[in-house]
Amino acid sequence: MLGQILISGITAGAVYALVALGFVVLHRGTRVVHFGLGDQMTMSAYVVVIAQVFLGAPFAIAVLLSLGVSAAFGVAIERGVMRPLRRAPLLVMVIATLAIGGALREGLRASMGPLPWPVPFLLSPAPFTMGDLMLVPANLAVVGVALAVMSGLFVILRFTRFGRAIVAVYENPTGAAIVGISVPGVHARLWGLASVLAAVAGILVAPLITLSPDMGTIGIKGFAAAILGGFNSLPGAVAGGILLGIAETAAGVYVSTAMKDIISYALLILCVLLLPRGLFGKAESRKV
Amino acid sequence: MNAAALKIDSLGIRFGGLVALDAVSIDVAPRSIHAVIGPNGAGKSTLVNLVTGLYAPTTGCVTLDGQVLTGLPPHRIAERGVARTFQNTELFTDLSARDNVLIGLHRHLGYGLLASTLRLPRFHRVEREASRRAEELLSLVGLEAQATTSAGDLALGQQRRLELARALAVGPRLLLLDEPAAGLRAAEAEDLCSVLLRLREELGLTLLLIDHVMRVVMGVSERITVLNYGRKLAEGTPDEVRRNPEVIAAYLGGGPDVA
Amino acid sequence: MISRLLIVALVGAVVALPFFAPSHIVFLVAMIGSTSVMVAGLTIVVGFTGQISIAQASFAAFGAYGTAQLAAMAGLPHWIGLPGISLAAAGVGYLFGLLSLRVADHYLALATMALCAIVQLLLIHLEDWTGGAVGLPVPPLEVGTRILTRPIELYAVIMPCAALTIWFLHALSTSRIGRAFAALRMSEVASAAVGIPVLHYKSFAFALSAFFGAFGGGLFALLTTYLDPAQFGILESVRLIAIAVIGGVLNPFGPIIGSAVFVLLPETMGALGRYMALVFSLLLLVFVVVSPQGIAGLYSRLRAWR
Repeated sequence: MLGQILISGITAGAVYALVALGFVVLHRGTRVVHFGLGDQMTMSAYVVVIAQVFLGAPFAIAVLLSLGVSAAFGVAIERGVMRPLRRAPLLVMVIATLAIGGALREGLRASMGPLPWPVPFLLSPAPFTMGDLMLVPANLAVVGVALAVMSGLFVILRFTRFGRAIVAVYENPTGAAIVGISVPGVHARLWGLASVLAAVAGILVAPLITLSPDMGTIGIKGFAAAILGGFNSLPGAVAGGILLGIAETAAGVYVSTAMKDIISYALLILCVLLLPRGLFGKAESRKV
Repeated sequence: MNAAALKIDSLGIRFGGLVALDAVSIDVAPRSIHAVIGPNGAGKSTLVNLVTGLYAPTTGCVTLDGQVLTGLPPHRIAERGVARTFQNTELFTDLSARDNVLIGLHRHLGYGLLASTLRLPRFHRVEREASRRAEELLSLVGLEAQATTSAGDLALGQQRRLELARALAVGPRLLLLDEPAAGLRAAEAEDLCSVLLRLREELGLTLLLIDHVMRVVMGVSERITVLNYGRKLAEGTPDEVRRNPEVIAAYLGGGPDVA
Repeated sequence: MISRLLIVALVGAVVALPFFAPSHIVFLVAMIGSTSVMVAGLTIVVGFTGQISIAQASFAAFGAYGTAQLAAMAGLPHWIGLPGISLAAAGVGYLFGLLSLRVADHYLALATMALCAIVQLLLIHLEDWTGGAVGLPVPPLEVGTRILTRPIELYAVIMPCAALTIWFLHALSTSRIGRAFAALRMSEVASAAVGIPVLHYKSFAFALSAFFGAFGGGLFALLTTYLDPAQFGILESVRLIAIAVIGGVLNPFGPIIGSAVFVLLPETMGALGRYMALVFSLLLLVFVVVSPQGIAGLYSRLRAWR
């Protein structure tokens, strides 16, 4: 039983971890928390469906198209909305990102209808058994892709010029500007990067749950994972995601499926109250 | 209003591994003007934030006329008669100068939700009195003509004076001024000195003045404490401090601005 | 002077409306009235105090379901139940505000969002109390032996409540309490330094916000006569924020202006109605970027410019 919970938990957790990474990648560099990131997940899954069903594109092309559209959308948000608001109070930024999310969701509802769309699985959804464990190839694929994307992210941040500029801005924005890194340019990259992470998460999770305009609510889970991880640590976001996935699955098994979401939201509130720095985060203080 | 004696007793705080203030003791006599100076990073603003309850000290204790302030939240410390200004001005920028002062008067206005929303006679009486008092304080700092200007639209010198008026509105016995002369022109700084002297004479306040240069504080302070790297380096009358070789050395290291 | 004339004209129009307008228009205006009461709570907490709350729909649900069930299960008349449940909501709101001691900014936004999600799930799962996913009929408002069900009768109850709410916002914003709220919005550090108990005032703002959320929710319940948990989720909270922001969060008339836009615009859009929610989200975005003070702010800017 425990093994089964772990496996299911890690599947859900891998998706949460990707979204959480999106939140943290963006927040660390720009101080912005993007409340519409969950809806960007939905959008990217719809782009795959649209490309496949309406344009007849093969799956791989549809996914690439979706990632490209997401990245462009992220950069457009940075240019069109966040840059004019960069000196605005946090409250205004939160409302702006809520509005972006709302526009995406309602735009999809108006154009694609409120009903769920089928999204192809990466691998077969038919379970097979291995020892006492029941494994689902589709879920394993989710974990595999998530792992690959995460490793890719760390490689990019560590070893490419593109990534090193981001890390420089994370560490010290003023210093980065002095050595000639364009901070607005990095912000645009961060928006693009976070959007791509959300897109991957959206495409992975859509076949497992149902793809409807309201799928973006799952973004809250990614948010919770980011908070568990301290909101400023990339490994923390991954660990937070996996932990949340396991906790939620366990709650579903031992308490009740109906209470599963309630418990995970309540955990989130408790964590915000009792562990505002998360499990891995560092303290921040304001100077007067 | 009667002036209060401030006693700072081996006050210390560390942020992570950094000791920002290390066992500093200062006695401020009632109705005196006491200055704390030191180079940037000496721990002066930290001291103000500790006295006003913004930070909790790691060691030591602050008392005002024998009453312990340490451990009280900032608004309780304000109620005990401690008001302050801020190094980088913390005005309510979107509000008019008058409203800024009215907010300073907040705790003296005795009416509640019912009187506000039903507009009981008490509301009008208290508000009229408050407006009058606000006008008085604004003219005390020479801002009577700017009463309806947004605080954010005032010039820096005016903003500092408005902060002073707001702090006075709190009805302090002890006033802490965090670098009140920073960014002021020479003439403005002199005006400030005369205002400070008047405050002490007319309102009988105790003043604790923070600055990183000696120019302003020399003329008005009775005693000066010099901080360096979070420790007390010297203390005495302006003349004693000026002649202290350690002080000269510290300032020569940090920039020769002793005169 | 112009403002005063406008107010007189507005009051006159509200009084005169039921005498000549068809009943579905009366219903719509009553809907504007009840929505504006819910939104007034947000105007206090988001506009005046500058805090984030994505849980206003939960307080509306508290008032709506509370009013309905106090009448249906306890037999309490609405004129006791509605104010009673609103006061209870204020108490909950105050406790809720105490959370802001530990949580601020986007964490507060998230915590309130999670709370809103929990409340909606509870509405669905606590079937014995809430009627579950199918919803709940609301017992009609009774005054003496008379049962008020016609739009015009509910209009006569709701509109005075809305007018009193606007007066309350105005009176609050020009009192020491309103000034303390504004002070918090701009600098908590400076507020505390002048002796304002920051936590108490934040909690008080949340309490007022919850009170109006619940009261408006109760009025909404009386007007629509049927409650559906789908109406009280995060999306509804965000919609209420949009109404507040588009109307103008610093003006007592903001909630009325915003509610009027949100209630009337879909009525005039006809076949384009399904794009309405999209249009509102885009409007919110445009206002936040271009005129964070909302429509009311545009008006005063226009006046200053003339």
